[in-house]
Amino acid sequence: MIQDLVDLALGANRVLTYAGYVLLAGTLTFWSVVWPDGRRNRRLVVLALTGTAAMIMGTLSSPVIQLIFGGRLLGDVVSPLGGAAQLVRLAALVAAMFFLPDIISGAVVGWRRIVALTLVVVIAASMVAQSDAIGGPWEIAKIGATGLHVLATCAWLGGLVALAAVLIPGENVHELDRLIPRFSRVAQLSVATLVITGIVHALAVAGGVYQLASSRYGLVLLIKIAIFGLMLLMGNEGRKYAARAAFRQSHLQPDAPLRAGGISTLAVVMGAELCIAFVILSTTSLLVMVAPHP
Amino acid sequence: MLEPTSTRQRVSRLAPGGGAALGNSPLVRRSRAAGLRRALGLVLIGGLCAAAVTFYQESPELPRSGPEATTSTPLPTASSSAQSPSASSSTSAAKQPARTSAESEAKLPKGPGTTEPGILLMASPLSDGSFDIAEMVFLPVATSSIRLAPPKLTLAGSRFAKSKPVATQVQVSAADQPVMVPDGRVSRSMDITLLEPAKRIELRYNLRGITLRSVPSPAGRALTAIGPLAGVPKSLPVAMMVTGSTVLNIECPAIRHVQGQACSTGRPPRLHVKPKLPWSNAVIVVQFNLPRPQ
Repeated sequence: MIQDLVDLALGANRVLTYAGYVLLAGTLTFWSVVWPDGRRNRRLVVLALTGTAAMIMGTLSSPVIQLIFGGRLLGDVVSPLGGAAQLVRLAALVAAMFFLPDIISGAVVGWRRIVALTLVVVIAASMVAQSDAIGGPWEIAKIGATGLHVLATCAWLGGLVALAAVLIPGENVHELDRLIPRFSRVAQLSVATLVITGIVHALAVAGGVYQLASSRYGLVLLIKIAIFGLMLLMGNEGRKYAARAAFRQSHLQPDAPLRAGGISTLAVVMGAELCIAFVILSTTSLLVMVAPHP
Repeated sequence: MLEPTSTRQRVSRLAPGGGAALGNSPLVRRSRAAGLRRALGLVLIGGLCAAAVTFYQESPELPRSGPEATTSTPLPTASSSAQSPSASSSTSAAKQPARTSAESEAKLPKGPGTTEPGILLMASPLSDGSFDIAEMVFLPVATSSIRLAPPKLTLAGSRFAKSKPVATQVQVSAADQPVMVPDGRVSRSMDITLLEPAKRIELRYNLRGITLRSVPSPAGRALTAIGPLAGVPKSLPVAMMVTGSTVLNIECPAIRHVQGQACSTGRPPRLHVKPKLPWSNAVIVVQFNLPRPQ
């Protein structure tokens, strides 16, 4: 019973860590790649700080939960590489927290962009170092696939959250025609990366097509893919609405009721997408728990 | 803090009193606060990075429940063929005094699998010709998955060409956490992903399909070929021992010199393989009398 509760707590903690990663790394990527001038947007700053706090909590809580409630010793709950990766991640999170004012003191280009993306890569690498990509056969392929998967996740989901935070309040509709095309390119590249690396990683972890198809890991992965497909459909709808809203913004006379309607629809679609994104993160957490039983 | 401040703005805010008043100006206070923030951030980052390096180097010495449990693991005996699935399935079970008071227990030898990287394989014959086997795996670095495969008996000679070894009732625990093996059976190569990276892995299983009755020979005389189930780097040493009052001799067919092939040391009921064989050559042929059914 207690072990079940510990497992549940660890699963919830994993979701918290993933969500924090998406918020922090996604916002940094959004600033660096999509909207360097978005540093003035306070909602994005709040997102980045919330993500930092969530990741710090998640990183510290994982061993604490196992030590206190799981009755285990430190040597049991952290491997040398995993523990070192967690400490490096904490260092990156401290850097994000203490140097965020410097990163966003100007447009996120040049050295600011390099620092921001370096933080993203370090945090992503620390997550890869703790994943099942380390060890076993096809290690290099698994590390590469997992690393790209994690980076693409933050670029896509994090960018989506950042975009929603900027656009849903309806105060920055004038940015639509600039942000949507940029984010679309990033999202397309990210989704393609997610699909390819997801396939490579799943096959490498399960050990082959047969093992993947006949395992619980494969079943949960199938559910995740279905949810992912649903999110892609929603994203496509959101993109269409956003494109129409941007067109109206650029080419038609301002029409308050029409614009409000377009943005509220966009808000609903993006809100649904974010809910699905949360479900995907939860499914990923579940995948970690059941992987793999070929 | 988040608003950018140009040099011109800063200069325009300078106190008219000059240097004396400069120390009290909001600009200087803000600058000092920023400097303090950066310095504190750098100190924390440096400390965490140093902690990460130290942890990576020193963590193998951290207290863990694994070694205590490992060194007191019961040796397989002829009377322990029907293993309870819960016999070693939880962390708390590993700490039970009952486990250390079993009469079949013996102190494990130092060397591969216990105090240095490698495998310690302990085997004991059963009356049906199968062997009850325990493998203690100690890896040089933590791994997230392990490959399990029936031993390749080609090294044991043409006598075993038609043998199809199968491991049943396979139990695996990594860092004292139970790891699921599909159907508890290993009849072909498979990769098992661990819940978290581990350096110490323990396997218990029943190996069958490996014994040939010697004809003509005294009733019950048989030959069997044994090798480890766990896949590790080929150069890692494997220490092997066979226990049981009916065990007669051990041969190491992979050793090139004929003199070295009779490789057992010790006396029944406990025979050891004298050399530590590299994993790639870790196959022994055991001559024994089948224990009479009880």
